[in-house]
Amino acid sequence: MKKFFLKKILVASLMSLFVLQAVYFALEPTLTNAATTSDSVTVTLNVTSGVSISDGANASMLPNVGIVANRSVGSSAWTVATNSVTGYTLGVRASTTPALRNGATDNFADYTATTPTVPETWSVASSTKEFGYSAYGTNVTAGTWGTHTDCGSTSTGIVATGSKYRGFTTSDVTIASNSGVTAVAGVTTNICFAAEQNGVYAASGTYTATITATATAA
Amino acid sequence: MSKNIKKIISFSIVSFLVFQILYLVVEPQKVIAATATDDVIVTLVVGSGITISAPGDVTMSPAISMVTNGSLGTVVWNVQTNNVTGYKLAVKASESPALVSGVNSFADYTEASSGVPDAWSVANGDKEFGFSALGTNTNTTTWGTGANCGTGSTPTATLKYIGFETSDRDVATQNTSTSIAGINTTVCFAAAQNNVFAPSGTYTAIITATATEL
Amino acid sequence: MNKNLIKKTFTASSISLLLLPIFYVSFEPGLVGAATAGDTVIVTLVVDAGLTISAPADVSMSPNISMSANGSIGSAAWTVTTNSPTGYTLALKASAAPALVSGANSFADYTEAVNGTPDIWSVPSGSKEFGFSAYGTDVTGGTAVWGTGASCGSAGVPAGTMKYVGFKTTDKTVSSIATVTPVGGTATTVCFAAEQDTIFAQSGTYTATITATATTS
Repeated sequence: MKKFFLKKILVASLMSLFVLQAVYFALEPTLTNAATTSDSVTVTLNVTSGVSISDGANASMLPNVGIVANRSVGSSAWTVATNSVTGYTLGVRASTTPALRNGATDNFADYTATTPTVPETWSVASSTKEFGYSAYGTNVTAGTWGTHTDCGSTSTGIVATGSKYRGFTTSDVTIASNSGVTAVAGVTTNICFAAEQNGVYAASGTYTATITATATAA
Repeated sequence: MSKNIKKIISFSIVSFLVFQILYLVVEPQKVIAATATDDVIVTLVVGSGITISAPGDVTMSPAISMVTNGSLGTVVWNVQTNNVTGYKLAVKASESPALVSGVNSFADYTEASSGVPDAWSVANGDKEFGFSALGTNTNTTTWGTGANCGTGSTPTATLKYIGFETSDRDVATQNTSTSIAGINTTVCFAAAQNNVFAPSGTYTAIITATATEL
Repeated sequence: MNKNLIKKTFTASSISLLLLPIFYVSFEPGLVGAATAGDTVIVTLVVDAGLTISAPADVSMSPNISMSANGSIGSAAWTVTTNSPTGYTLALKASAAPALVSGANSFADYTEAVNGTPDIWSVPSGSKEFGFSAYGTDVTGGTAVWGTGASCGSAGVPAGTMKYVGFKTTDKTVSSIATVTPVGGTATTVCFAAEQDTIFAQSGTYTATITATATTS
C-alpha cells in the first residue's frame, strides 16, 4: 500500500516537473540586446592620368653638307613620363612638306622609302637630295626603326648601321609607345636625322626643319 | 447553622472574585491589528543598446597625379550607447590591400613596427594607403594628436598612421554610457606615392566601422 | 474543627461556583415561581477592531526603457479592510532616496512643481525621474489631488489626467476613510511611472522597494 502510494507520488511529481519546464520555456520572456552595430563607407581615391615630355634639344646636323661633304646626321631626344594606366604614344611630325628647307631657295625632299610609311635602310637615289629620320630607345620598336643605338658619325655623316629611315609628314607618326606607366624619371626616345645629296648640289644656305614631338597618354 | 451559611456565602464570593481575576489573567489575548504593512518590489529594466551613424562615402582629395603625390580623406562616426559598461569602435577593410583599382593598388601602410601606428612616412618607390584616428575616446598615445587630418595633401604631422587589415582594429573606447548626443570619432585616410607613379584610375576601399557594447 | 469546616466550606463553594452558572442557565427563570416579576440583564458584545492589507505581486514596469523607449509604467493595487469605526489610512514610502536604483545609478524621485503636491506627469529635458500616482474610492483628496483616471496609462506613457509625486522614505498618505470598509475591502491602485528625457539612463535593472502601510484611524 505504502509502495503504491509512493509510486503515485513519484509519478505525479515527475509529470508536474515536465509540465512546469514546458510552461517555463514557453512563457520565459526573450531578452534581445543589440550588442553590435556596423556601418560601411566607400573611400574613393582618383588618380588622374597625365603625360609629360621633356624639351628636346635643337639639332645641328654634322658635318655641313657642301662641295666635298654629301651627308650629314643629327639627333635629338625626348623623355616622356606618364602615370596613365594604359601608357603613352610618342609621335613626330614636320611643320612643312618637305620638312627641311631653306625658305623658298631650296629644300631636301622628304626621304622616300620603297614603301613610304615603312622605314628602311638609308639610300638616296642619284640626282636627289633627301632628309629623313629614324628612332631608337626602350619604347621604340626595333623591328620598325632598326637595331642601332646611335645616329651614326657626325664626322662622315654616315648613318648608323642597322638604322632604318623614313621621311617626315605633317601628321604624327608614332616612333615610341608603352602600354603602362613609366618610371617617374620617364623614358627617353632618341630621334636621328639624316640628309644626303647624291649627284646634285643643294644650294648653299641654312636649311631648317621644325619637328614637333607629341606624347599622348593612351 | 446560619453562621455556616454565612461562611459558605463569604467563601463563595471570595472564590468568585478570585476566579474572575484568574480568568482575566489566563484568558487568551485577543490581538487587535492597528497597523498592517506590505512591501512590493518595483522593478524597471533599462535595456542596453548601441547605435552608429552612417556618414557618406569619402572621396579623397586632392586627386593623386603626376604632380600631386598625396591625398587625404576624413570620415566621422558617431556612436551612442546607454550601456552602463560603455562601448568600443573598430574599423577594418573589406580586402587586402585595401585601396584598389582593378589589378592596381596602393599597398597597406607599413609601420616601422608592425601593428604600431607611427608618423606618416612612405618609402621611396612605394605607394601606400593608411589611416589614423582622433576624438574624445581615441588614445592619443596610440594615434597621436591633431585637431584635423591635415591640409592639402599633407597629413597632420602629429597623427600616427597604420595600415588597414581585414580584421577589426579598435580606434575608440569608453567604459560608460555616452551622452544622448553620442561621441564622434574621426578616421583620417591618407594615400601617397613616393617616386613612383600609381597607375591612373579610380581606387576604392570599403571600410567598415563596428561599434560594440563592452 | 474550624480548619476542617473551612476546608469543607471552601470545597463546597468551589464546586458550587462551578456548577452555579450551569444551573442558573438551565433552570432560571423556571425557578421563579411568582405570577409576574421583572428582571433586567445587560448583554454585552465585544467587536474587536481589525485591519488587513493585501499583498500584491511585485511590479515589473513596462516597456523596458532603452535608447529608443523613454517611458515605462507599472501598477500595484492594495486592498484594505477594516471594521474600525474611524476607518483607516493607507500610506506609501520608499526604502531609499532616490527610490529607483541600479547600483550607483538611479532615477531621481519625481519633482513636483510644488513640493509634495501631485501634478501632471512632466520630466524636464536632461532628467530621468520616477514617481507615483493613485486612484480608487478612498484616495485622499480625491481626484482634485491625484487626478482622474481609471488606469495608469499605456505603452509606457502615464495617463495624462493622473497627478504624480515623488517617493520619500517617510510615509505619504494616499487613501483614507472614516468608516468601516466593505467586507471585500477597498482597493487603492498605485501607478508607477519612470521617464528619461534627452538623456540616457545607464543600462541595468533598477529596483525600488515600496512599503504600503495601512493604519486604523
